[in-house]
Amino acid sequence: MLRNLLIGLSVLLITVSARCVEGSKTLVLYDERLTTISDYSIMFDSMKERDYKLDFASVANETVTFSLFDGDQRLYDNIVVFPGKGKSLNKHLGVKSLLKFSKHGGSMLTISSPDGLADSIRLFLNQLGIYPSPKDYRLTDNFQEKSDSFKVASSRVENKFIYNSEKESLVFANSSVALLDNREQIFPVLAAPRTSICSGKGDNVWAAGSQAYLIAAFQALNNGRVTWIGSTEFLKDSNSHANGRFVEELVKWTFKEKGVIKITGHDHSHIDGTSYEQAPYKIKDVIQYNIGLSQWNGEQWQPYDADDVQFELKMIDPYYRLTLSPGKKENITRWYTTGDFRLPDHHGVFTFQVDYKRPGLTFVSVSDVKAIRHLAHDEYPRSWEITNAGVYLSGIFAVIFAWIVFVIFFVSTSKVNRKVNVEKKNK
Amino acid sequence: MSPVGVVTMSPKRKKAVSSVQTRSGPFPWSGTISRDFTDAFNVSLKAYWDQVKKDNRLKLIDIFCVFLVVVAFVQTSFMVLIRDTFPFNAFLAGFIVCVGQFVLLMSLRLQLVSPFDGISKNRAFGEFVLASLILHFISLHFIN
Repeated sequence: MLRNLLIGLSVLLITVSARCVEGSKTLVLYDERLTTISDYSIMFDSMKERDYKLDFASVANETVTFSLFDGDQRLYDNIVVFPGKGKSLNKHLGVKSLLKFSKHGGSMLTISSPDGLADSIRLFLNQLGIYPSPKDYRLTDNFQEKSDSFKVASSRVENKFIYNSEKESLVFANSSVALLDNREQIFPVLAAPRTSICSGKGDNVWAAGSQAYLIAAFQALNNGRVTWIGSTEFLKDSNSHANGRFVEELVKWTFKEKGVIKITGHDHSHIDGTSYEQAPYKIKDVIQYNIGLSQWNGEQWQPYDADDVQFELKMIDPYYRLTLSPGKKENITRWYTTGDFRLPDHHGVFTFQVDYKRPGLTFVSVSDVKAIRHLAHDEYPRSWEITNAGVYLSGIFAVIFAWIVFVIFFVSTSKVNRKVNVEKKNK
Repeated sequence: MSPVGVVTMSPKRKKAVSSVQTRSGPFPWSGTISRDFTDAFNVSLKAYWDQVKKDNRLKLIDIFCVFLVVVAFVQTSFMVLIRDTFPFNAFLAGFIVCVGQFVLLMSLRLQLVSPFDGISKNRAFGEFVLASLILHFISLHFIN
């Protein structure tokens, strides 16, 4: 009865908590001097359709107070930040509170434009390794029809987990760009066209060609996501015929509606099913390791299929790095198995680990530390069980046999010799 | 080929050295040295045969020693041939029993030829048997 109630309650919760894995309470910060929210109605309507709870707040008025935290409790799951005209976004939104928000696993969608990017957002992005171009530096491409409004093929999107489409062409206008650190947590999404340059007044070139990026994503180790977009025009309703689907997918990814995986379980045992607790592993035992992975498809968890999941058996260095093969499929879980493998001929405390970090997917990692013991003194093979030892064994027995024969002869001949000696002496 | 013969060699060698300039070989005295060596070898061989002839037990000990060398050589060459030391303890046991037995036989032989003060030949033989038994016991346990 209670169980049914709980299940009913959790079903209710799932329907209520919508499409985001972690929550859909979203704060939209904008500067009404630069941004008119109604220009982005298609994007926000589509978010509302997916059960996002949107709070809009204009940062233009310094007297408005709002806070991201209640104590250490995050008040919002997601933030959308439009460019601000002022130097600082709001006195309540410094770099520290943004970093704290990210450290607590919140997700952010930040948009900048050549017209302005608040210092706190810029410093925050710089800490992540994303360096947006300065104010009034615009991307132009003189090889296209209109140099300040240009098209980029969607096949150039670099992360297939974020968006996977070959045919569309995305429209950018009035765009700033960013240079990216070479950091594993940064996923470049869309590079600027090869023929473009980012320049300010007086032909000051800040970046050229595809070294600069129009869109970049960042995922911290706690799976908090930050997406940076270089152009507000890109999101506008007027461009939604070209960009709409991509924008929707990008929002979905940023706020964890997709590209989210989790580990549902992992275990390892002897091949006959005996667990470690029943019989601790010793060197050269044959064992197998299994791990189950699920993927969030926007509505529910479902089995996650991949061919690049790897298992590591480590003691400082990996002794094994095995690519797991897909095994049985349960409700929401795809199980992966190492198959049977032999533990190394080395005792010590080993880590059984799966560390699955792929750009575009949430980082998952699980490890189990277990000791592998050495052989007990009576567990080594005896010499007569080893074929090669036969030579040495027969060597020993030959010596012993020859020694017995020697002793017999020695004792029997010694008397003869004495007689001989006596005879000689008599002579 | 008596020791006296060796003594009579020395004047000859002096002659050879004095005629270095006339001979063309790079080592003019090498012929005489090898001859010296052959003589010495023959002398010691003869002395050995004389010694062995007196006592059959010495002959027996020497035959056993040769046998031990052969057994040790066979085991070592087997290890070299398969290019694997595993099982190393078994090899050590097999090899060391040969070496140990050889050493014990040598000490027995020494005492038979010239007994130590206060230790009779029979006692030496008894000690040899006891030590050998311990050696075999340890080897068998070491190879396990």
